[in-house]
Amino acid sequence: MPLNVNLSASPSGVPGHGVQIGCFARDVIDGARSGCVTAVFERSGYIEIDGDWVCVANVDAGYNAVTISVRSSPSNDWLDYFQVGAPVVITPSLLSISDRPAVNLSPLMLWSPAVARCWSLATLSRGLQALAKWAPDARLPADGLGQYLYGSQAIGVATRESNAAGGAIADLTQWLCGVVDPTGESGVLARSVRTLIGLGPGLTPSGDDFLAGMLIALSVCGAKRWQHQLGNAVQAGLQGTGSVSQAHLKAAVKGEGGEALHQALVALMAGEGDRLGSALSALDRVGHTSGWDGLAGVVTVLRAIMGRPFLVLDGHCLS
Amino acid sequence: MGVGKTTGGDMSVVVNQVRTGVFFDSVVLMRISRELADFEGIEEAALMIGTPSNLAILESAGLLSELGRQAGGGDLVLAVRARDAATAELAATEAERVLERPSRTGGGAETWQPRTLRSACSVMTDTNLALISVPGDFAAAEARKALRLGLHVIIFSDNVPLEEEVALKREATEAGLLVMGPDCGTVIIDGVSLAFANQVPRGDIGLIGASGTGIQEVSCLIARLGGGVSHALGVGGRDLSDAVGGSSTLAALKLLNTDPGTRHVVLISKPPSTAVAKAILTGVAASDKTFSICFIGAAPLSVPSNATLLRTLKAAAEHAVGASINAVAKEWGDGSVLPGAGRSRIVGLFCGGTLAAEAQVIFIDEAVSVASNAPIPGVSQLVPVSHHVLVDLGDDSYTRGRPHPMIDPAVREGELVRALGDPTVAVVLLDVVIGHGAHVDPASAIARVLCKTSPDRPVVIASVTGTKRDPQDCDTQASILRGAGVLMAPTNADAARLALTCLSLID
Repeated sequence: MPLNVNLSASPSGVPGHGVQIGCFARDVIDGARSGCVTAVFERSGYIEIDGDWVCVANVDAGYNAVTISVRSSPSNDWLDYFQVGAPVVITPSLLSISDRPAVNLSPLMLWSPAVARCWSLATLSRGLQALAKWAPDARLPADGLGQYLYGSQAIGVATRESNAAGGAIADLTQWLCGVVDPTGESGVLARSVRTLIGLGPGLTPSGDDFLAGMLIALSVCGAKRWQHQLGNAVQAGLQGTGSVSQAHLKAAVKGEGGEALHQALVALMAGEGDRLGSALSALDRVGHTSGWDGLAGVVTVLRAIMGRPFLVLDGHCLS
Repeated sequence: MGVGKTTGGDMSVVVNQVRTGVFFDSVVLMRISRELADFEGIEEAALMIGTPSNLAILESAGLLSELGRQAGGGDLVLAVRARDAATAELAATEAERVLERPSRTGGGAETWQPRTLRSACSVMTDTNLALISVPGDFAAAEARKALRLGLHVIIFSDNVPLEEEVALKREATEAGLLVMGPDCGTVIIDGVSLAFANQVPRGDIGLIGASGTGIQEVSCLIARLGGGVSHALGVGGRDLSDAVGGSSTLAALKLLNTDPGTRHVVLISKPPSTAVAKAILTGVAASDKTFSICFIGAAPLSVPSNATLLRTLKAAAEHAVGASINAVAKEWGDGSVLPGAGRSRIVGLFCGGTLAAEAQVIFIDEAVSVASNAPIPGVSQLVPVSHHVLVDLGDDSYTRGRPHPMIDPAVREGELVRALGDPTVAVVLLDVVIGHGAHVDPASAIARVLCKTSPDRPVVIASVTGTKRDPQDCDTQASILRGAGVLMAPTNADAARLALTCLSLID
């Protein structure tokens, strides 16, 4: 959902005004003093602090666990201050770049993703049925892993990535269904994660987005045991992907990701078709295919829960 | 940056480049990969971060050299396999050039480029037009900045909220400025083509269109008929809606009315509401110019004496120039290309929304039922069991998260493969839109798909929207398609008629 933001100048004259911060980003900058700008894009920049990467993004890019969301004044683009390699100094109230105040950090609200307050197998079933209406095959991107939204058989023209991912997604589906033992000698969970992690060309490879979607869905649904197992496998495989994606995966291990994906997940769980429609529109705007890759991971988990509801026995909402 | 080269066992040459600390979105990497793969002599190309999973894919594709094998997750790997070393090096150099374009990611940004409209205007003081092409959520804010700097505005971006469009156009009207768009794909001003537009000669015919491909088809047909274009002003697909009220169309009418270089105006749009049509026709009546009006799919309506209402884009172009394309489907008549028995459906796969709409008009006029995802009045909404279908692949539902099919033919390829493999499909109808901004060689992309299909595939019929002066050259594109067994029609309207003729022959 686009945010209507009043572009008023920051009272202190600092070009950027931080409005929200994700949980992962907060943990990284909490107590930190300095860092370095590592990447700059049209709407966002990344800074590295003690080995972890945090995103600093325009508020219109949507909230995220790894992100400090910034509102800009009309005449001053705070991103102009970001240059790769520039030193970053952080105080409780200010983020400075190359000794120039860039983003005001006070007050900064902690962003929390949407939660499904009441859901059941019936509402989940309704949500998954609505998905077919709102996300027909033709809407799925040709690239990435959105092709696996409707199961471990890819829809559409196969790509290098979708071919490479197929076996791993099928194995993960079987793991969720209890067909394979993740701790057995086959090591199916670790092998699947190794295959998917870092798979895809961009900043957050499609395989990582898929795994993040699974982790977030397992967490939000309350399938703690499975979340823990998959989280451990992902943690062990983090070196298999780039630094930007590592940050997003670390947040996903804790059950948090981007605003649009959480909105879609909650709409699916609550069986709210209209809400799902607007959530998917927002998801469309997340990266090239990242939104759909993450949703494919989410739906893989939700379908497994439909067939095996005791996955979430420790979840308190399922009736 | 490192460069490595390996000679494969089959004498192919693999070249890898590895760059550290550079970051690109995957859509950029995939676009460059595809552009490189289209180079003559390139067998395969890929551009990916060097994670173990990606290296495994590259290894199995025979795309890795020793250098590439040493890359890590923080590296960007360019991998090219070519028939010879010179071709591989050429492709690698081209990739290097594209990757080193100045950008915010640093590296190579030696030349100063303005980052804001205000700074651009401060060094280009005679600027009077801004072209906004940013994600839709940001476009209105940038357009508003441009208007407040006294600039006319082209908003190429889509997904701009309707209420923002209304507010922007109201502000523009008050300031005596023109807002073209949002989702304005085609503009030609004083012979300068902006966004998706064709290289057409200057002339005395002005165009106003709430449709990019509609303007392209009409301007190209005007050129083919020997005429020329003074200005072509896109106003955005929603301009003639009740909410917007034709605000930009009326402003464009006023501008062209005062332009001494414009003799005649062609007005192109989907059917407006009664109230908006009345306002537009009042503006037309007040003009000194003559008009060809094509409200595609609209019911007959009364127009002022200086205007003529036309059913199709082709008819509008012919009326504007006062000449006939004299299009006869002379390419047709060879019984050997008749589709096989049991085939009875026409599937149209269009890049251009207005071209899909024009085809629907032809079907309606021939009393043939058809369905579309973007139906004009009288056409049913596409459902899975629809018989004849005319699909607008440029519609938002197909383009979210990926490029428009005019930019990336791969968007159409999946649908094309599906239609060609469907035993019930008799005719596949295609548009091929070329010009500035469009793919460098859409005909070859289609030809590559066709050459992989069985000989008993459906008949494929196409037309090219373009001119000889376009970078892709319409004649070259038509020749490639003919070579792939495509029946070529001189206009989009003729292609639709030819499809129906083909169907009647097998009936």
